[in-house]
Amino acid sequence: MAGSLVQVATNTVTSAVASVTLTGIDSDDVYMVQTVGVKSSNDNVELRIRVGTSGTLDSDSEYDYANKKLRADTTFQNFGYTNQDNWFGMQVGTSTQEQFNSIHYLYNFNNSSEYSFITNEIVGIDTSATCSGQQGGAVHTVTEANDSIGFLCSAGNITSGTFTLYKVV
Amino acid sequence: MSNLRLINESSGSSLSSYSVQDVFSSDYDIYQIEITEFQQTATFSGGMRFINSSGSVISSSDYAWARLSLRSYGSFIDDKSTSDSDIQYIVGSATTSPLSSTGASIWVFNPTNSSSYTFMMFQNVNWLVGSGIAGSKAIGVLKTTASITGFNIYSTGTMGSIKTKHYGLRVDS
Repeated sequence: MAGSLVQVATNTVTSAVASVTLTGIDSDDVYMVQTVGVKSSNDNVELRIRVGTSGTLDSDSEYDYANKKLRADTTFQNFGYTNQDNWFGMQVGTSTQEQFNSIHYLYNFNNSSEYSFITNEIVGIDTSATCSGQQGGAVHTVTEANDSIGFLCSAGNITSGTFTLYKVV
Repeated sequence: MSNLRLINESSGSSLSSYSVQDVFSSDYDIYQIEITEFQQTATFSGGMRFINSSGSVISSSDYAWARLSLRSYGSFIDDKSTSDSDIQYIVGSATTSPLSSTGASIWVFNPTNSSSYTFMMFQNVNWLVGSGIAGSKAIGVLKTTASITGFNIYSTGTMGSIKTKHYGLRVDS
């Protein structure tokens, strides 16, 4: 395959944290984030994603996304939203195998004249105990440079998981 | 050096079951499998199964999967199963020409972690002679905590040829 993945930052959660922020986006290259085994302390919460500026996650209402939710148990769903205060990742809970695994490609994060875009490829076990995931994309509609990306739950903490940021070169 | 490390590659021809063992290990939590060449000479569809650390292909009904099928010649299709003996539609189509082919990229999460299910996602593109282009965006899981060390591509007919490359995604702590 073309190109290489060079690790920029990683964080393995072994005790509960409110959020995980990966920093170090400092070029106009494409970046990729991989997450594996992400779990939450609270049941039936949203795993959310935000961009960061100077390492602080942005909580403004400038997040738009369009995802197709794939489910093993029932009809697929379309999720299209504008002006949210986060990008929705997946509904997760506290049952043993409920978890979030994902791949995201990051575009234009370092460019202060462009919006920041990501793609979403997500698979896990959700709060209905079924295999589900999302495929789609998202944008943060602010012309600013973002040096980081972060993950958090709608309530409670992230209790486990590995989050790694790579530069695609 | 890239953190995406080529572990090995494999190939086969004129077979209905393609197994690659000893790919997954404790060295990585995330793997990428690329199907770099695939041609079929018979009518079939092919699914993916995992191989446990004893070398056995797991064919129990512990797989769940969901696939959005994107087609140039018809409406898109939602396919899914909560209990299946494989993760369907990795390769293959209903046409028999050697020109019918597949390219695919598969990601596998936590295969050797014996406290976690093994998750995967894939996307592929297929050319179906007489019909057109069809692709998949898909997810799947093996709902057991067995330690998984390899994979199998299983078909209902004979695969003409197949080549795969296997990568591990390294995390430097």
